[in-house]
Amino acid sequence: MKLNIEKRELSALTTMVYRAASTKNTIPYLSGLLLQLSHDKGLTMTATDMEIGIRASTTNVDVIEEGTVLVNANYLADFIKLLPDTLISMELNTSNSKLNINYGRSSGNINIYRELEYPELPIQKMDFRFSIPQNILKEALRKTVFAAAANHFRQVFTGVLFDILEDGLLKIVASDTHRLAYYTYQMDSKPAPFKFVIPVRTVHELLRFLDDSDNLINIAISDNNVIFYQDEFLLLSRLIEGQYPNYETVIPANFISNLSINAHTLANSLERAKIMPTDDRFKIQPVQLAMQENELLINSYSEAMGEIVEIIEDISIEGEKELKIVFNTNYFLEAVKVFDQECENIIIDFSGSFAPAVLKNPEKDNYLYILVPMRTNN
Amino acid sequence: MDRVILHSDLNNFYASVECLYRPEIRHKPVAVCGDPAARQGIVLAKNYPAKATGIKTGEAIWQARQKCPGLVVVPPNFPLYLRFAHLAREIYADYTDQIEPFGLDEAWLDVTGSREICGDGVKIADEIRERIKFEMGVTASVGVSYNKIFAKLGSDMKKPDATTVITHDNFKELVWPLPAGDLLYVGRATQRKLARRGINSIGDIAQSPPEYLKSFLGKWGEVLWSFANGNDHSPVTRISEAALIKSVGNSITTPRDLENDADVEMVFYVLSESVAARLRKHGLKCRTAQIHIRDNSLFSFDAQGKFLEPTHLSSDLAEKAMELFRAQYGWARPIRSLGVRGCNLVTAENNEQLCLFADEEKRLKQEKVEATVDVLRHRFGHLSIQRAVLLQDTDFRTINPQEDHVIHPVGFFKPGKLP
Repeated sequence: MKLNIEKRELSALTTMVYRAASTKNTIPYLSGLLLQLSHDKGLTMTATDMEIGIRASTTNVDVIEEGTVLVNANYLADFIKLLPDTLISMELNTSNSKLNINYGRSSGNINIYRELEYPELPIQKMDFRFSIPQNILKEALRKTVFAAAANHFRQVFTGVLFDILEDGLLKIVASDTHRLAYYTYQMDSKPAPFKFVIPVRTVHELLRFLDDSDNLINIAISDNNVIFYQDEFLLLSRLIEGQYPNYETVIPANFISNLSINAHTLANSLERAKIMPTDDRFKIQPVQLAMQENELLINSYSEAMGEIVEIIEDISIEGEKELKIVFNTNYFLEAVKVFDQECENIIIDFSGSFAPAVLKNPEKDNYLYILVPMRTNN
Repeated sequence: MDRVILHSDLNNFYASVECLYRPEIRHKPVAVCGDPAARQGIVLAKNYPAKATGIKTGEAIWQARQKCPGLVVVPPNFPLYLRFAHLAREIYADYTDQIEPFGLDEAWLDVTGSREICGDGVKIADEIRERIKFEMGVTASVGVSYNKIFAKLGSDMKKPDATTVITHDNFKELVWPLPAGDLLYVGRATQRKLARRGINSIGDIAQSPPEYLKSFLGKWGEVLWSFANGNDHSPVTRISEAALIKSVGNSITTPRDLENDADVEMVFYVLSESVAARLRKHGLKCRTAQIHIRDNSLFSFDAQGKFLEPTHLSSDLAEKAMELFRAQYGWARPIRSLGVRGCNLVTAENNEQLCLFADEEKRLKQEKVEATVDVLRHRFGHLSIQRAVLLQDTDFRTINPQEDHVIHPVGFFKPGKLP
């Protein structure tokens, strides 16, 4: 194998792929990155830890001699990232089983693994289902993934749900049972209804690749896996098994009170509330909202630090004017920040002090955030 | 501005309560001791006459008897002590809501905000002592200071029934001569390390360079140095004595061996009802359920599972127990004994994150039902209301695991963790 390639091109490829490789040393070749070079396909890189797999390729490469080589993904990626911005030539030295990497008059050589054991990505029996513009998928995932649980004994809550309904309506949902983020998108095509849940890690890898263009990305699935792919990129992920609970029924429909408040003001206020340290015995830092006439009182308290009471005057309330409700500060802030990026005012619908509240953009109805309050003594 | 922290210590707590209920032994040396048959035959507490003979907490009963031939040994009555701890707490609560219990017999109170209404720290301390003596019939020593560490040292200085004030001006005379081992967190091992370097009193610790202490005690060295100099800013946390309970469980060796799922289910319901009622009584909920299974060859094991949200409902506990049981037990042998335990406890009504996928209304209804059952049983006895499932078998129906039960608070022998 022998090739010449610009550093920037090479580095873009390795950074995209190397994180799929395993960081554990139990099965050595899974920590490897597979480089395949051919005249018609250019340079292709693949890495997988059997949970997730990424393959990316480029034709912006000068192929001198075809071949395949497997090297440690981390070593290669770290090395290439730090190389000077110049033309790089790579060559497999069969006599000492090393991959030579030459840059200018300098060079490095990296140990290679036996590539014959490297597993094929199981992408043969995948059924194409639908395509979606990259920017839409990026927005949907960015706005939902944070609501998924880092850890939950019901596995489905550690993933993001793709729910494709009858008429080409796609719903992307994530929840940790205390909050739920809900994004809807009407597709042009009308694929058969189906649903699947992908792990949070997959979403984060996907977000690293997706850009703001409206180029389509394709989605195909098999029994256990899903792939997101384009011409020169493919991401394969295991699906999370299990039944996702019926989320539609938990979205409240009747409200007693609607609050409209400047998203930026609220975000700033919650940022201050968030610096309150969490008292040992609670594990969760609460923030209390109290609406009275046309003011909102935001109160946060901690034994170790003290108390912050803020009054936001510039709000409007429809319905019940007086209401007290307590939220997990972090869950609340994370959502408010999302809205702060896209709208000036945010609408919060309440249906009681102990009932879920709904956050939404007054101008758009394709995204909802449902937040369940906390029950406290005071 | 300085805080005003009180540390109240009920003198010879267990022994004082026992003497209160048995006037005939009041003037004799008395020791509250565990049950020798259960291999817990050690001294838990003693009164002043017993103390005078040199008996120490933690000694075996026979050692104590050697020192004091006429020693009266009484068994502990934990529910009674818990009740007294609760009574003391109610007195404290008249002066502040910032109360942090430390074991059953000690508590810190932050009365900084109460001085306008109740008078200064000493006045409050004296009043609390008077009330404990008059209303409860036992005595307390109270330390008054500007931090928790000195307040605790203060309560140890004069006993019984006394108030000690430690201020910025007098702490060097009062605290520094005390042996290093009196300081919180200086255990036997630390004391030895200090003594080896000629550091014997709290004053020695205070006057050693903190870097030096750190060099052989690690980061605790700096903490101890701060404590010895009165630099302790840890807040008095509002925790209930219920928070000292770590888990609530019941187990039973059944009147006959259990043969099938239906038997097991009945026993789980009996046990879960008791566990749930006790959780409710203490205002607690559990996040995790644990079951204990012992078969008739005396092989035993545990299994545990989490709840979607904290619960104190018997139906939740029994269902989870059954779910765990079905997943874990293959009926290789009949079962001799079963246990159900709620662990990972949270205070029931305090900052509880509600859940989206649980049926909140149904749960509230269920809570009302079980609370009603508690009331009925309290008034008309345990057997006045029973689950239908238990009517199938008279062997299990009459079991009432709740009645005969001892609660072991955390920090019974060693004090709880300081935040």
